Amino acid sequence: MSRAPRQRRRAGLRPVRLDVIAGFALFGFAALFARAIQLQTLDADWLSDRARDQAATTVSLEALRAELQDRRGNVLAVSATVDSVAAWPRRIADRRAAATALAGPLGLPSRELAKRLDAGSGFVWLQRWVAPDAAARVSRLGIAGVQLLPERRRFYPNGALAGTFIGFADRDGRGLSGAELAFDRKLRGASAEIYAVRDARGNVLPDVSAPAQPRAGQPIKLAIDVRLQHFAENALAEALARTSAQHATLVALDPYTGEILALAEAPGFDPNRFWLEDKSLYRARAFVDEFEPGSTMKPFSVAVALDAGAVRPDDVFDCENGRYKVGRRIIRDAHPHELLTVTDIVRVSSNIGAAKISERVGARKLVGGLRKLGFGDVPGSGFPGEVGGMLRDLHERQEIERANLSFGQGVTVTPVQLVAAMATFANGGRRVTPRLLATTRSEGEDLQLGLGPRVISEQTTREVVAMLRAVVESGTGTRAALPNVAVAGKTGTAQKVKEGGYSQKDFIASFVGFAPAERPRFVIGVFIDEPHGLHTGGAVAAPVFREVAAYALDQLPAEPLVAPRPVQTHASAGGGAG
Amino acid sequence: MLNSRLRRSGPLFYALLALALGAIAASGVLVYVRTRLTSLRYELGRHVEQEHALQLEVERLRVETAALEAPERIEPRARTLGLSYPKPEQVVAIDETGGAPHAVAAGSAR
Repeated sequence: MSRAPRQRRRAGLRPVRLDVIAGFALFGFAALFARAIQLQTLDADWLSDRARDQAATTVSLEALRAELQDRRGNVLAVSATVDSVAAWPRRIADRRAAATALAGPLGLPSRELAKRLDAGSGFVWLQRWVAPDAAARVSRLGIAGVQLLPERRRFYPNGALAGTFIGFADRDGRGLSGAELAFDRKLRGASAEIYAVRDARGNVLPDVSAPAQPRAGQPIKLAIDVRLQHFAENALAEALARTSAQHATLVALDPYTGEILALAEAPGFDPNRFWLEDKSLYRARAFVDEFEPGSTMKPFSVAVALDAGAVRPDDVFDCENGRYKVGRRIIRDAHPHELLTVTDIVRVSSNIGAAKISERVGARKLVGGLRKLGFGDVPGSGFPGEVGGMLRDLHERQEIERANLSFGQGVTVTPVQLVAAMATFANGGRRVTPRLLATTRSEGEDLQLGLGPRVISEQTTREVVAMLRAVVESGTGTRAALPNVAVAGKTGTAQKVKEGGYSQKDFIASFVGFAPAERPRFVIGVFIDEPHGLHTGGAVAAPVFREVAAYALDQLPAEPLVAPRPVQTHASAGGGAG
Repeated sequence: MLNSRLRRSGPLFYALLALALGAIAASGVLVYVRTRLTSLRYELGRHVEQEHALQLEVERLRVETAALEAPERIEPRARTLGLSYPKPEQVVAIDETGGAPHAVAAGSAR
């Protein structure tokens, strides 16, 4: 009996047990398999979402604001990541000790820092945009609750150079003024958000499957030339100091492409510390401030008269020995003259002569001709806030207004507008749109020119250029003359309008001209606001033109981007009828 | 007996064994792949951080270069070396048409 069950077990029970074990194993594997299928397929989406919610994070990658460069590729504005020192005061164990420790690296009084930490705020900036060595010192302190946070900062490596033209971007990288605002969208690019996983320790593990990248902004190449700009600003600053004037502006323009080669303002401001500067200095007056141009308007009035066939350069006018009555008003010349040719009227800047020329043209034709030259219109450079001055329509009966208009009163312009209008004489009679950007040319490709339609005949242009040369050779603008180079230009000494009338002591002295007169490379306008002592355009603005023009001739390419046709002039050294 | 029993239920047993071994092997591969992926992610994270640090250095150097090129910095140094701007009298505009340079006499302002 005792052997039988053992034999039975050997024969039958053990295999049964094995089957049971195998059955359990099979069941177990089947269960695992089923669970795996459930997890990987049926519940996969729900579980993935849950996992993503728990561990996933998105990291925002801000595009670096692109560079602003000058026409030669020199950097005018560049962005970089810098550290700012932030604090969470409630997490700081000893705020007094922290303030004392941070005072040295941040260069701030510990009392000031303690005040910020004790203000009761949950978060506080202790200092933004700190220098790298200061950031390293703060980091070494290792104060819990004080942290370095990376931020983007805009740097202007040339300091105040071209500050009003370049403008500035705020702490969030948004252009707020000048070229920074004009080209904001292109400069900014687009930020990107990348998906990443954060582990238990908070380390961010980037997603390898779809590495999104921010779209970088596009660098912008402005038309200005840093060297010319620097020289022009120095010349303006000296003129400002010499004349104790309130403000000075210089605009240099390529007469064929319309590129603004330099735009200097004195005083200027440093965009690196714009929040500390006088806000009135942010304004690019060359684009946004209007003024009555005075005598710099005369060549344009004369050009309209010549083009209309109303006068010829050698026509003679009686300039009434310095006093001439128009309606109920007396027009005066600074220096009395008797008989003057049209050329001499421009050369010596006779108001009476200009008024008499305008009588021959008529008010409507005069206004119409000036409009064709761009007066009364926004120049169209795209600079933020750019204005176009004021030019009113006149009836023929408005004799005084017409006479005033002929010598630059009762009309307003901006410096950029006046320089662009002068470029019409320099380029042979075509209207010019001022351009902020450098003109680019691929090999064999035509330039995108700023030149507009012809607004003055070539014949008239030649005649006016001859008159403008006479101004510099023997007229009111001799201080603009350059030895070895022919200069053409016009002086202006405009009374400022104050308290409802023309001031007898506050003037805007100006000179707008170009060189070389036969084949101009640039047009430069110099505008000095309220100079003291000597106050005429010839005495105050023309010397600045001379200095900057000499430098520009040395620095700018010998040939303009577009080869112009040489302007044939008939100017004589004596400045007679041309 | 056991051998004969195994022989009888052999195909099922070997199938189960193969399934178990396959599942274990697959699990091992899966664990290895997951571990490797995580490790690669850490490595990638380190490289991204490294790239970021280098990018910051490039940005800083770009600012420094631009500041060093500023005319306001260069001009005083050039002056100490005896360099100066050419005077207006020293500038001659070359006439590309072949004509003689135009001479103009300077005078007084009016």
